[in-house]
Formats: sequence, C-alpha cells, structure tokens
Amino acid sequence: MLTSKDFRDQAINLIKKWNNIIDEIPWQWNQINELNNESKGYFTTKRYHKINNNNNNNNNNNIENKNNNNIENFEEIKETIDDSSTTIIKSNNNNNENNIIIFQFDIIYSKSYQVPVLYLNGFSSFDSSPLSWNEIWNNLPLSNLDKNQQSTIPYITQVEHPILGNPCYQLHPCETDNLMKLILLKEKDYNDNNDKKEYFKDYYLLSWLSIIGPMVNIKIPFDLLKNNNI
Amino acid sequence: MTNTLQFKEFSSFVNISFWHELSNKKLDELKLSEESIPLNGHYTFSPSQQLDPFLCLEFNAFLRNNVTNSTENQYVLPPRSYLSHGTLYNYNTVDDFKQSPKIKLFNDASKRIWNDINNGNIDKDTSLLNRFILLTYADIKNHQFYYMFGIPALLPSQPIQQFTEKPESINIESLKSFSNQILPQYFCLKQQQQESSTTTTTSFELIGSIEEKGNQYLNECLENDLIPLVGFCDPCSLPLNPGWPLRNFLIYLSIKYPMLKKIKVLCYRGNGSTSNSILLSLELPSMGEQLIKKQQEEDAGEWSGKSVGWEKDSNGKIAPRFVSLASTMDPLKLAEQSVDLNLKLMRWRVMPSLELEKIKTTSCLLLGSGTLGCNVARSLMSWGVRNITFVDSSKVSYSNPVRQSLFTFADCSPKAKEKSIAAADALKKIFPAINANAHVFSIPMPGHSVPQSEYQSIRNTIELLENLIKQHDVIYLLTDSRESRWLPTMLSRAHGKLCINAALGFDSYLVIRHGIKDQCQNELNPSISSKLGYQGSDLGCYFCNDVIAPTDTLKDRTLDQMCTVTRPGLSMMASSIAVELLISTIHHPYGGRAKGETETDVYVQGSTPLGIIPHQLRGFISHYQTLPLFSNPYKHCTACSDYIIDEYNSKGFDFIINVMNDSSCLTKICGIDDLKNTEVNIDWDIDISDDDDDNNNNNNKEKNDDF
Repeated sequence: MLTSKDFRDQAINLIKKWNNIIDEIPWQWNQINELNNESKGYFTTKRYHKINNNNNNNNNNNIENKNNNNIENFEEIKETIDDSSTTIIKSNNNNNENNIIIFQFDIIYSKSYQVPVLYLNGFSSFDSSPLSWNEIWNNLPLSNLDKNQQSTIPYITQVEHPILGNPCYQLHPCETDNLMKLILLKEKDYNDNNDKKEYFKDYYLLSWLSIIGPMVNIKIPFDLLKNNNI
Repeated sequence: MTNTLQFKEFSSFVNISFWHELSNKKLDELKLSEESIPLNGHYTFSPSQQLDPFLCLEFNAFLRNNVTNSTENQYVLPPRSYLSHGTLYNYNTVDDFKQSPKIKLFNDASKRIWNDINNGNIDKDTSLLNRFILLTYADIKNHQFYYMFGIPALLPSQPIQQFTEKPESINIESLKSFSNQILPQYFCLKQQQQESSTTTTTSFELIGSIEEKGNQYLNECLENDLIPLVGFCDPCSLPLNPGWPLRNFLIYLSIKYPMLKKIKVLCYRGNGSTSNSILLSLELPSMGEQLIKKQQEEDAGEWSGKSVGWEKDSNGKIAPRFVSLASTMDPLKLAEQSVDLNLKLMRWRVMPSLELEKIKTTSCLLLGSGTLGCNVARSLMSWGVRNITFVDSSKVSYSNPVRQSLFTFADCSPKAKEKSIAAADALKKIFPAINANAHVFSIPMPGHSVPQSEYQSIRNTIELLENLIKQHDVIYLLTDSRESRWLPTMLSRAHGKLCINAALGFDSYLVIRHGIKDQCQNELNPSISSKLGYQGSDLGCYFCNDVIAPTDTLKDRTLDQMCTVTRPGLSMMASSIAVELLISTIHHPYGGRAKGETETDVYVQGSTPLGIIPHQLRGFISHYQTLPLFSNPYKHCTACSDYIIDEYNSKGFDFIINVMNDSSCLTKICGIDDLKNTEVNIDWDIDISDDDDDNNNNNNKEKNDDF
C-alpha cells in the first residue's frame, strides 16, 4: 500500500537522483492543477528502441503514404537552395530512422488500487504516428516470455489516459499490491525488525520499478540501485 | 583551406496527446476560429547518432510559461530541455490549408527573429532565436491531422566556413565541470590547460549565459584580439555537424558584434558515456555589414534576406505530413480492442489454454430469435464470438421485450419489427464490431402440408436454410416447437455441423448437443467444427428417444401456450448452458466428436480446462437441479439415422416435401414401422428395442416431456 503523498515524494526524489546519474532522456514530473483545487501529478519519460520487425513498420508506412495522398494539388513551396543543411546526410540515415521507435512511459498513482501504474504508448520516430498494438507488443520484452510465463505477468490493456484523456496502454495494477506484499513479506522473514520494514517502505517506488521496468525496457541505473541497497 | 559547415535539421515529434488536446480545444474553445495560437515546443540532447534531433510538442504545448497565478497550469520545460517558441495556424478545411499563405507566414517568423535580434530582445532571452510555425488541418471526425512545420534559419550571404579541416572531438573528461549544472541554452566558457611532463590536459569551465555574461565576455575578447569561445546545447549527435539552433545564434553574433571574425563553438551534447561533444572553429559571415547597410538604405529595418527551414519528407520535398489516430482514437476500434483485451484477461490471469482465437472465428447460426435466441446471442458475444446470424419469421410483440433481452418497446411500436432484424440491430448497438446478420423466414416442418402452389417458395426456403447451415460452424436450435427442429437437425447431420438444441418446458429445460458422424464414411461433407473426424464418438440427437415422428403440435395450442408457459429465469439458464457447452466443445481436441461425460464430482478433472463436456443436460428449476445425461445415437432415429440421411442424399427436396405432407413416412423410412410389424402379436409394454436399458428409460421419460 502506497499513499498518494509517498508516491509524490518518492517520485520527485527518484527523478532527481536518476536524472543526475545518467544522460538519457530525463524523467519529468508533471504537476496538474485541477479546478477543484485538487492537485495531482505524474512522472514521464521517453525511450528510443530499435524495432524488431521491419515488415510491420514498412507496412505501416505504406499505409500512411497512401493516406497522405489525400492532399492533392498541393502547391509546392520552393525554398532557397541551402548549402548548409544536411539533407543528403538525412537520406543516408533514412533507413536507420525507420527502424527506431519511441516509447513514452507515464507513471501515475491509482487511487482505487493505491499503487503506481505504468502507462505506455509507442510512436514511429519517422513521423510520430502511433504504433499498432502488435508493433508495440513485439518490441516489449514481455512478448519474449513463453506462454506459461505470460500468465504470471501483468496484463496490458488499452485505456484512456487518466489525466490527459488520450488512448494509451497500461500494465494492469490488479496484482501490484500482492506483488509488493510478497517483497515486504520477504524482508520481514529476513529480519523481524520493524526498522527493516520501515526502511523498505521508503523505497516502494524504486522496488516496484525494478520489477516492472525490465518488462518494458526501462533500464534502472545500477548506481541508483546500489546507493539504495536494493 | 576552409570547409562549409552543414547543420542538421530538426525532425518534429508531435505527441498523440498534442493532437488530442488540439481536438478538445477546437471543439470547446476555438470552434471555427483560425486565429494564430502561441505554442511551446522543446528539444533535448539526442542519445544516438541514428536519431534526428527532435523538436517536441506535448499535451501542454498550449500552456503559457511564466504564469504568476500558482493555481493555473503553466508550461514547464522537461529537465535538460530547451525552449522553442511556436505559432499554430489551424485551418478548418483542407482547401484553406492548401491555400494558406505559407511563404508569408514563414517569412513573418523569420522577420520576427530578425527584429528580436536588432531591438535587443535576444540580449535578454536567447530562446527567441528558436522559433517555429505549425500549420495544421484537423479532420477531427476522422481523427486525421495534416501538418507542416517551418523552423526558420536566417541565411547569411555566404555559407559559414570552418577554418579547421573538421570539428574537434571533445572527450567527456574535459567537460567534467558541466556535470550537475543546469546549462543555459547559449553560453560562454573558457578553456584551461594544465601541462605536465608528458601530457596536456584541457578542461572547459562555464563563464555564464549569453544573457548574463555574453556582452562583457565578447567585448573583452575583441579588445584583446582573442578568439572567443562560446557554446550551446546541441540536440544533434552527428560527429561532423551541429544542430539547427546554432544557425540563428551565429547570425545574432555577427549582427551584434560586426567586428567579430572568428569564433570557436562548443557543441555540448551532455555528459553521458556515449555523448560526443564537438568543438567548431568558425569564420563568422560578413553578412552583418551588408545587412546593416541595407537596413540604413531602406530605413525601415525590414527583413530583406532569405531563410530556410521547412520540414521535408523522406524524399526531400516540402509537403504536408499526415498522421491518422483512427486506430487509437476511433471509438469503434477502441471498443473492439477493449473487448478483445478483456477476454485475454481470463487467459492471462486464470487459464492460459483458453482458445480465444477459435471462439472469435466460430460462426453461429441461431434458429429462433425469441427468448432463447436473444440470451444465447448475448452470451456468445460475451465470449468473443463475432459472427452471429439470426433466423426468425415473426415480429416483436408487446409481450416480448420483458423476456427477450435484445428487444425494447421501440421494437414493437409504432411498427413491429421482424425479430431477427431487431435482434441483429441490437447486437450492433451493443458492440459495433459484431458481424450480425438476419433472415426472415419460417422453417418448413413435418406434418405441415404444403400446397402444390407453394412448392417453389418452400424449395427456395429449404435451399436458403441449407446454405446457411453450410456457411456456419454451429447451429443453435432455439425455436418454439418440436417439429421445427427436425429439418435443421437432419441438415446439420448431413453436413457434419455441430448442432446445439435448447428446449424449455414450464419448469424444466433440456440442452443437448447433437452428435457428428464419423467423417471417414462421408468425406464429401468436410466439417469445420470437427477436424479430427475419425476420432471421438457419435452422440444421440434430440429425436433419438422418440418412436413416433414429429408432427403438428401447434394445432391444439392456444396462442398463450406457444411461448409464454415457462418460468422466466429458465431461458437465461438454458441459454447460458447452451453457450458454455459450445465453448467447452471448442476446447476439446475432437471438437464435436468429443464423447459425452456425466461426471458430477466437481473435484474430478474434466477432459478440457473448462471441465467436463456433457452430451445433454436437463434442468429442473423446481428443485434447482441440473443433471448431465448421455445417450447413444439411435440407429432408427427419425432425424439423424443413416436411413434418413441416405434418403435425403438420394431424393433431396422430394424427400422433404413428402415429410412435410405426411410425417408418418419418417417412421417407415427409418425402420421403426418394421420394428412394430415384427412384434405385431406382443403387448406394447414389452421391451421391443435392441438398445440398452438407459435408452429405454430415457425413451419412457421422453414421452412425458413434451417440449
């Protein structure tokens, strides 16, 4: 069980440390002020991932290109010839660019389950178009687990983003509390000391991420784990 | 020898949440307004050389920054990101989008940068050097968006040259002092060297931002005839090319400091292990003097130079980009995905061996759209069946909606709808992705005489029914009378289709799945529902326990007795069992050839992950009891025996017509009459059957249960 306040405090603290350690796209805390003076927030980041299946991506682009022809007779803009741009280089990189997708991760507190929840979306790095479900799934480590293991992992469903309202996918939180209790119980068995239990609770969010993160290609910096003795 | 410096263009990244927010704004605030709207974009370091530098728009692009009211949401830059000021021009029609004055809008943005340089605004805020325009046409109804980005870079009269052969790569050790610092977008710095006996170590240290220290620092360099060292946070990670934000910065320097001829620029790209900051040695353009002269001549300070920066497509052309969010925002597709994913919840959490794809692709023909048909359809749809066809000849009457769950009062009045059509329409309202079809006809029945004049229409009806049976995997018999089940039972048997029969009494019900014969003996009728046709066993059908032919049971009934003499909950119970029986059968490797199980101990494992697969179930609501039962097929059955099927295969329509006109011929064809004749001198109560006692018991019991 994680309180809303603990979620916020641990998130902001985690972000500060994480962003200092590694030079990836940083995490950002988004504070949202509601009209009813209720305040809530979540933290978010992006990751770039080389795609596994070229065929799907190419098919997707072909569909987009067909649809793009809807704008016909578009007056061409003639721009000054620019010797100082890298257009030629871009065409060389074009093939690589099509093979990279962007994952966006939002971590939002769930009031009903009282746990953090991971929301994700996938985009083409080429034109920002959202990926199909199959493209997202095939590029998550989750899809590599065999069939028997899949029944023990969080299940992903499409939902409306609880704050922004746009469609996205979530790792369903229904088992998160049980999962974290197992971790807590393990600590308790190891040491009945109440201090130990209290110590563990301070790192609820990082512990949760250390389990959920690898399923979706969120790599936690080793220094962060080491410094917190997890 | 000098080298022309080439800059890497931005690529746009527009988050889906931006389009979602734009749609909401257009519906709630903008409506048809086409006024320009300020936007906030940002860029950050690129983690890979394979990635373009991204100019990013998020859901909060519309928010203002520097808001004083703490309760109002404001734009907050992500960490280690830098601001780009934008303007949105949203058009209401595709024609307006095509005809928008794009060149003028782009030049206006360029002029604005030029004016900010000359009036001193850049001295206070260098982020004003990074501007963009975004032209959009939002087709909200279809969740499609067309857009173009223009990111102006002012052009000098001559391209910028490097006075070294190529950029110098900077190792991260020399940038150590930049760690744990929030660097400004543009800054000045100094380079220090420490010499030891064998090596020379270089390190860079920040002096301050251009806004704070730039003027003092650059003037000092000019006075002392030193080459100044400035830096900027570079979104590009190519080893030989800086990013776009450097272009306008160099223009700014050359205009503000016309005496400045050479400069060194650190393209800072973070301190990660894979970062590759570079140091450029540049000759500043001489455009400053020319532009100053032009400015003096024109006396208006108008921008008269050129600029570039439209985003190009993969072919290098300036063209609108297109993004379709239909797959993620279309409510129809959202409904379909949600239904699928929620079914997968069962599989992932409880039962990994669920065959959801098989269920989804199974097509079901529902004969009868009354209380059983409606409830069976609801349960099938809940399991993920996507193809359902209704058949019924009657219309929705006022008494139906309270018992028949797909109908409402609106289906009775002002004009009564056909039941099958109303049922199919209701399914589509509930779940738009369902493939629901409807046919309106009555099923020809034994003992219901057919006048000669109606032979052709009856023939057409029989052909239609037969085609429907061929086209579907599972046939549900959900009609009101016994004899209406005879023809589809016979045809399903002939074509090897799984047939599930549900029948209601006042306080009891029967659900039975008919057997499928050994397919090896009848290879002309391949069956979808039983791919392993040679394995498993055959089962009895609804008529196997009769020794009389089905006949007209409607003659002596009052209207009230046709469909209402049944306890209301019975239909839901029978329907749910009829559907669950199908799902269990689908999960057996033998499919419809699975043998009937009667195990009632819930701790004994059944043949499928879902449990046992009974042959038939009888429910008695008076005692809240359900019994699984089994019977073998009766070789003299009036509906499914080989005698009947062979007669149909040889005589076809003529056979059916004979049965319609005189159902007693059935007992002759299937051999029951012969059995009677051999026992002509024996009393009726004596056992006259070759089958076992169970069959006789069912036989006797069946007589008392006239469904």
